[in-house]
Amino acid sequence: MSEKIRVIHYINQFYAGMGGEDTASVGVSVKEEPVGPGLLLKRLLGESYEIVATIICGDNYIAEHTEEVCREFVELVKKYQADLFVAGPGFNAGRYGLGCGAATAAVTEQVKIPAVTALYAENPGTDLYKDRAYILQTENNAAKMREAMKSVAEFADRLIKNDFIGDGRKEGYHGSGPAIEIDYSIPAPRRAISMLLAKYYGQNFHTEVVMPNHEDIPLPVLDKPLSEIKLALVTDGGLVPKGNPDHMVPTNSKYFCKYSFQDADTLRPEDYEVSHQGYNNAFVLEDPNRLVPVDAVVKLKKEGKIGEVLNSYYTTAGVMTPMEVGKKFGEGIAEDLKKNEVDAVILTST
Amino acid sequence: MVKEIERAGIPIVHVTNLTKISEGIGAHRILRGNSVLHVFGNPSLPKKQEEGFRKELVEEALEMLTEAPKDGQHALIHE
Repeated sequence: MSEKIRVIHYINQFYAGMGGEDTASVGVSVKEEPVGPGLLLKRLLGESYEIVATIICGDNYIAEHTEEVCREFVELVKKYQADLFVAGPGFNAGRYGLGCGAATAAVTEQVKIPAVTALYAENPGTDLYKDRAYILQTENNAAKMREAMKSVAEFADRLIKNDFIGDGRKEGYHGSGPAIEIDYSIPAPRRAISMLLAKYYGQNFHTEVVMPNHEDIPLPVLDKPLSEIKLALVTDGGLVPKGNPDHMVPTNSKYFCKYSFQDADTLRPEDYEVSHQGYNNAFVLEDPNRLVPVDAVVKLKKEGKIGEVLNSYYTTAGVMTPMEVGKKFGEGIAEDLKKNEVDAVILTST
Repeated sequence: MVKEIERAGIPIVHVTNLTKISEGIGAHRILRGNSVLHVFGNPSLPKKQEEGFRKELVEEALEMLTEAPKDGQHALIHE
């Protein structure tokens, strides 16, 4: 390639050497050369790239006028006929991170050229834009500039080369990356087959069904032996008492229910039914313990293997239920488990 | 739901046949059930034996509650 790949880099007033908080309100300015961390970016990207412009914007200004500034960025990227947009990295700087995320998303969506930034997981900009732009993961420490910029440069180079980009966990970016544009004028089977062929030939493709990337929760551990724990049972398989007294819906659940089995040592089929549209529940109707294993846990309690069993189970129908709703159910169940001094849980999913 | 219960600090075993999904959402303890249609059941066995089977599977889940994923792994998974 004789012509160099044209790069635009966005940094804040601090990295531009204009000052810290005292100058954080300055508006957008442009320098037609690499500035600050841009020098490192230039070196890392190598000879086939050229930073044609650095956009500098004060952190307060971009945070307060995000939309307006992003429009300006988009115009600049067009004006300079950029092939690649890089923002930051912004590490854990809040307003700068917001700017990095917003600008990268705007360029990705409106100019449709490769764009990338890098932020720390807890940067507010990460959560806001991680499903609209490539935001690579960094440490929260700006002293790691060299490592962060290296991964930005490598990732940018792959975007330019239309290299295969896998999911965020594998590739080290937050969330699901840029939103997928679906061309509905092409029938779904054809889209699916092109996707499959692209995958087969190792070419770039993007799923239209994005699995959310999930936060890490610390591993909970038991603080007592099994013989002293109080165990509870939870299911998303929709088991409800006969007659479905709370009218639990079989799909797209709005709430979870809690039902006591009192001192029963097994769940009798004549007492239960299933409200769940997502699986053939004949086997559970035949024996509800197959879903909520009350008979087994009661036996284990009698044998002294576990201390106690909460004599109620929690239930909902996990069909077409959005993640956010499931999360709420989980919170509600957890709160009640705490109230009942439950130490451990077995949850069954159909 | 599994993750919110974990967030509350309560150890939980997710018993499911869709172990990949469970792993994908980031559950820490995952046990493969007998079938999507009967997680804790095995209808091919006579009733008594099925009860024994269920009890063993519950015991396996209980053991998992006392264990942690291996170093460098996010989840303890019994397939």
